[in-house]
Amino acid sequence: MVSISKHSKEVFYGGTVFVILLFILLGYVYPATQGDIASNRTISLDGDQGMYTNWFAYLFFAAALLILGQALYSTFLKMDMTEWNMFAFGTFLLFVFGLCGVLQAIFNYHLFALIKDIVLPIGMICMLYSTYKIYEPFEEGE
Amino acid sequence: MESFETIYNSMNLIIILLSFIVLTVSAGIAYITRKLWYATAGASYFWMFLSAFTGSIAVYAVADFASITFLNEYAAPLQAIMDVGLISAAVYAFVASIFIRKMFEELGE
Repeated sequence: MVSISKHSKEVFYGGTVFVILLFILLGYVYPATQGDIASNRTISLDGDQGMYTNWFAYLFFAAALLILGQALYSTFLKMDMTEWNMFAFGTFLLFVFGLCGVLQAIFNYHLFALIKDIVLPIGMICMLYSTYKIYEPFEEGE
Repeated sequence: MESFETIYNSMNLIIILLSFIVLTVSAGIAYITRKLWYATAGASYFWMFLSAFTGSIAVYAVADFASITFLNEYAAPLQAIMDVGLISAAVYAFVASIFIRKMFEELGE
């Protein structure tokens, strides 16, 4: 697997900022439709207040995944542990999932819900593969 | 051009399949990370919190799968379960990131 230990900081910050800007740009190209506003899928002050709980849950999830990713990039990946690359990519995809959950309540609901639903299983499969790779030497040692 | 709503609705079966994949895979990760915690003899609480994190995502996936397949009339309480799953996953991820840093500080000493 490719080592990114030399540029782990740049990859983390650059990738995060690029994805956030890209998704906000996508949101401006595809704003919330009249159907989304009519069926209370967007957050508004006079709309369904339960949407705020959902929105803040996704926001909190995205922020926590950002912190977890930062911790991974500044420790495991900086020390050139290559089996953690896939794990970090999985946490990145989970961050994208949280970001799409935030943006689906602001911009086009179905576009971001679609990205969200596709990105989550891919991220989880990456994490499963990586955790199995990390677990393999422990299994042989038993 | 088709609207995203029609594309989303036409992919209904695929989305059910994807949420089922998330459910099984997150349960698998929780199992492996739990085994890793025992393999390291509880040396790092990081593995325990990572296991709890994926378990919370599994809770989210169960509620998601149930709400889009056979319990559509209970959409509102299942949405609340999904929110709780997401928030607890976020808390566990945050604590796991603290334990990663702590582990490397101990290694550095």
